[in-house]
Amino acid sequence: MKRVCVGVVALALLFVLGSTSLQAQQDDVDINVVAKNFTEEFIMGQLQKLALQAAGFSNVSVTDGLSSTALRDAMESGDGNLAMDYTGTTFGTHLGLELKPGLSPDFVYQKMAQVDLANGFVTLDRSEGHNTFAMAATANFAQNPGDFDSVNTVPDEVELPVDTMPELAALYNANDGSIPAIIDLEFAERDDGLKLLQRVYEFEISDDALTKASVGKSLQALANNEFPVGMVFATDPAIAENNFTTMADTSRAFPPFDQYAYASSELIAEAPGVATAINNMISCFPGGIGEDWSIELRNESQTVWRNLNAQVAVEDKSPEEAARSFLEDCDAVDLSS
Amino acid sequence: MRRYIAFVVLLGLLLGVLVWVTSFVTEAQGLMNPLAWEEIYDLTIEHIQMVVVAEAIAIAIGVPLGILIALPQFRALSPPVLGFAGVGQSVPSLAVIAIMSPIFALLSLNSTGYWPVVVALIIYGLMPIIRNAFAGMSNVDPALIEAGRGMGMTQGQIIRQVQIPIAISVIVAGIRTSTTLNVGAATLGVLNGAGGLGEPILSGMATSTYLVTLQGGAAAAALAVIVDRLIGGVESWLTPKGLLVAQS
Repeated sequence: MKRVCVGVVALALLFVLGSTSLQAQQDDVDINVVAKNFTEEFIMGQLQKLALQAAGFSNVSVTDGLSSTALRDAMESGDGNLAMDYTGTTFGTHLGLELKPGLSPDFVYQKMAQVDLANGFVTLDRSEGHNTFAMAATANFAQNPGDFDSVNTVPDEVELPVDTMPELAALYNANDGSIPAIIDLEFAERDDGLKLLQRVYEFEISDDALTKASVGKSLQALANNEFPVGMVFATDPAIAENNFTTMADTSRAFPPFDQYAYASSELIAEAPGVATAINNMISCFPGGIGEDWSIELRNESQTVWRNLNAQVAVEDKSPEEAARSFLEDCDAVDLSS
Repeated sequence: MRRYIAFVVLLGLLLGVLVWVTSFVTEAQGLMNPLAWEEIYDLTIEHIQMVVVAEAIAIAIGVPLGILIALPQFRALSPPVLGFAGVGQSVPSLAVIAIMSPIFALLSLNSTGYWPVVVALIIYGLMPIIRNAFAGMSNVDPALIEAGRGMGMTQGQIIRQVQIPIAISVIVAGIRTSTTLNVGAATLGVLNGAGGLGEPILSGMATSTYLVTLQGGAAAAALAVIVDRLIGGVESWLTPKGLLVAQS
């Protein structure tokens, strides 16, 4: 009897070992994904975890809630070995390269990837979601700016709806800069905020027309139609929810802040499958390495990110549920495996 | 004289910081440049406007209310009134301001800028005014009221000629506390788009340009110190001579 038992156990063990031989190797790899402290980053942390699990990696932990610098510190110290960040943030803030108007998303990405390789990081794929400041208008204003008291003239170059920065600038210039706008304090004061936009597009919002408030307040005031124009973050779900029209930054005054992933070189050397898994996941978002910049592609990618963020911010899903339902709709990642 | 030394030293220190940053720091600091004098002036005026309007209304409501609930026939109202005002005070000033904006929006009023902040400051500033007016009036020696009544004074005359003159320094002390608190609380008005000296404080913090935060902070603190001293002056000026003698 004893022998039969041992035989059965041995058979069972063989069976289990055989079926998991592929995964046994993946299980040895410890992956610690680090993420920042806002909705989009919470979701990105879960997207990475799910993509890795789908590829057979089971030792994946996610540490989120970090500040931007804390995330970079964690990657440099080795506490984290995989993260998603924004190209402009790494390029300008972490690597100290000069961000200036007109830089193309792919230039920033390639340059940053090259420099960061020397820092011990492998840069993975990017999207074109460009999450940074943007000027936005309420639906009413974008469609019929002429209906507003502060607008006496709608210049000919403005093609309705108002949806580009040159058009918005032309409206301001034709109306003494007096169209009321509400913007966040940081955007108001940073030299690479409103001041930069005003320089690049050659317009000025008069002091009397400009109200500075917190980010939340300025979104709320815009949503309540108390102001026709305001500042938003480009992938904020509130844009879709309230039907705001964002002004396309046609001259690329703001450097690209595209979502991308990077990993420590050791992790990729140990498990090349990590790169494939993450790149597959990022390919679910429009835009990528080598792609030429266009307003359409950027809008398309931003819309995908906005809708994904809205699942958490508007529909109250958890970041993991949002990430899962997003990946279920994307063929590049097979969650069922 | 001694109480003026602290005032002069503190004010000198604050103004010194302000003059140093505004007139002598010329290089760009972080993401922002230090504010120019005229910007500080404009923001200070905005700040004073918020506080003065809020305090004027808070005094117009708070002092009569405090006096009223100290009268024997309305004494029963004092616990709920003081309790209500106490709630307004114990909620953090930031929360009072934050709550005002959705309330204004709900009432279809403009929820951005000046008025929601002023209303929040009124609520925030009421408590010390009501409490001091009530305490000042209640603590008048009953023998003095009795003496007035014995002289044939009406209740109105007793209030005007006996109780208020005795309570006036306590009432003004309440106004002084309330105003000084509100000079501080008004720095948060900028979050709702009301401007004021909170603007350099918070935008300096948002851009890690701490010298600009220091400018706003020093100006707001100097304003609070000056307001405190000014109302302190009014307080001693209004205090009846007889009481001053009695105190000293």
